[in-house]
Amino acid sequence: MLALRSLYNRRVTAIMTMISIAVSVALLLGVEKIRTEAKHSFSSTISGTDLIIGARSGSVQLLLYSVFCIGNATNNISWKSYQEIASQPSVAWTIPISLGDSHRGYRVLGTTGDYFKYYRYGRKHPLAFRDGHPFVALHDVVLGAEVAQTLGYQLGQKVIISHGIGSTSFSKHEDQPFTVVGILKPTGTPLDRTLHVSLAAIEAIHIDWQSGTYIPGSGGTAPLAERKLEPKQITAMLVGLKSKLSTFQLQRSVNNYRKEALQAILPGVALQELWGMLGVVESTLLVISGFVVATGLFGMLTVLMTSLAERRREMAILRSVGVRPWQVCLLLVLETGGLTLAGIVLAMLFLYGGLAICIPLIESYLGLYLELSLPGLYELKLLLLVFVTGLLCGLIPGYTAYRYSLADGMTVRL
Amino acid sequence: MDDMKNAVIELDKVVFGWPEGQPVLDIPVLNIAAAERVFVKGPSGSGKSTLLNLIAGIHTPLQGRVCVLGQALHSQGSAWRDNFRADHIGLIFQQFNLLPYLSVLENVMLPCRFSVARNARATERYGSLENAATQLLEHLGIPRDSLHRRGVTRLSIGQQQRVAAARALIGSPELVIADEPTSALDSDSRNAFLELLIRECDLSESTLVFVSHDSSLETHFSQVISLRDLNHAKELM
Repeated sequence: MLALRSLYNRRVTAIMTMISIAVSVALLLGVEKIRTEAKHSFSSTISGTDLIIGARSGSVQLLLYSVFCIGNATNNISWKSYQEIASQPSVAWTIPISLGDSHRGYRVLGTTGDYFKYYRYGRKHPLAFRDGHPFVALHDVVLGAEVAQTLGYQLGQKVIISHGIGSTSFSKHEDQPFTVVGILKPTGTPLDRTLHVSLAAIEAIHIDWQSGTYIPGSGGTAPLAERKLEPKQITAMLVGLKSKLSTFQLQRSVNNYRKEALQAILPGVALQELWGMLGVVESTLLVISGFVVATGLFGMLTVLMTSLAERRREMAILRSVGVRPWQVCLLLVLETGGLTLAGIVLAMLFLYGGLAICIPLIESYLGLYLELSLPGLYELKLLLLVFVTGLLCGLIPGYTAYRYSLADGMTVRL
Repeated sequence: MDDMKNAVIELDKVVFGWPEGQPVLDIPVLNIAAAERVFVKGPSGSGKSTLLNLIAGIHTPLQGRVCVLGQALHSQGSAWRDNFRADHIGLIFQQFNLLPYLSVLENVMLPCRFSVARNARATERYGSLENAATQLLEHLGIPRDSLHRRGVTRLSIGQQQRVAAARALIGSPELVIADEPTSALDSDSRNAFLELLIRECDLSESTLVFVSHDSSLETHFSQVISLRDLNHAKELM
């Protein structure tokens, strides 16, 4: 009560202190939130797939180009090998993936209809269509949610695919425009930034291309409809098994495949590995926000210590009416405790207010799906830690005031 | 024996000093009887503050006995002395007596929040704590208008000192100690303040110990003590 009134009397500095604590705590919570959500969103990029198979390279690299559409494949898998693996008795389904083309910076992924049937993300969510249906005709394309939204594409619109990746590619497959037949619902994964076409379409648009150059007519003049558009190579494949028990068996046999240098990876393990590499960034963020909180608390400590000198008279008056030295100390501890608590509450307001405003923005710009959830146990622990630290900080001016009030007694002359 | 019973303050061979320094106070004997109006005079540095801190039980002597209201303060713990001070002693300082964040009334009622005894006495006599504070303030010339509920910073220094006096007197403590309460006042308000203070002490039957370096105020008091004569440690200073 007295602590409150005393604080109110110094409300300007108190409010500033509170805000600085609030901002720092909000930052801590925000970083924590983004960290966990990013990790969650990250590790749920792909699920339900037992093995990813590609040309032999690093497992993280394979994961990056096949799932995250980052970087390039060092080599391809021949269609024969694909068929051989797909026909193994333990294999339930396979999804071939063929990368290499793009549309205005977005990757084009060649695959089969099985993609929409078997691909899973998050907690084994299947892909869902916002509009339209999977590709049927040769020049059909299915857009990821972000592609459609950012470029403003509707069903039925014509899309021209560029050769190679990068938004400024000059060589375009202008002779074979695609028609948008489907738009997927947002998934919060790199899928949202991908255009999906059939493997046959990938073959078709590359008919007249010889070693990376477009030579019209070089691929023959037979109309597309009469050709057997079977791919010779694909970039990678996703494999679902009938039983998880055969995972390692198949992985081993793929890794030891004699005709081609192949590699099979477990997506979960590779994701962990990749996140582990990002872990440094993650803990750096946490450490930085920890320091920010420490700075906030130090600020509070500074303000209180400076005010102590002016408040010696207040202490003396309190002593004269019978307040004990430990009560004077308690007054200051309560004050810091109150400031910290108010700061924390304000921080929650900042955070949730900020999140409510920012979530749609973060979703559309980063593809990161944040949930407006109540703080978890870990967050509460963090907050408790901040609060206790705040209280302990109060002990420092508290102890000083205790010493003052013992030494000064009731006779401070200013 | 009767004399001893009536004594409110008894100091016996009291020596006080800081552990690393010379004693600053050496008082062979000091007796102040109940209901006395005592003027303690001495220049600054003569150990006035130390004497008050000893009587109020903030400090304990290195040697000797300090008895207030028949209680031996020197042999009690600090918590006991804090309680004792809250219950039996009202204090007025030189200046800035009031907590700026409390209203006038709340400032006056402050001691009763820390002393059950004074709270009970004030309530018994005036019906309620607020009544007690209002009455005291009126007696001391702070009219019952919006002033009572307002902050203390708008008051003049003279008014502030009278509010401080009301705070010292609320709940009728046996002992009222005033430490140069008039030094910031001009001579007219000084005398007015003193008269009011003494009248109120009479009403509540409190013993008044008034410390000042201004000997022109002596005439208001029934007993005058010169700290210079009393304190044998003065030669060392």
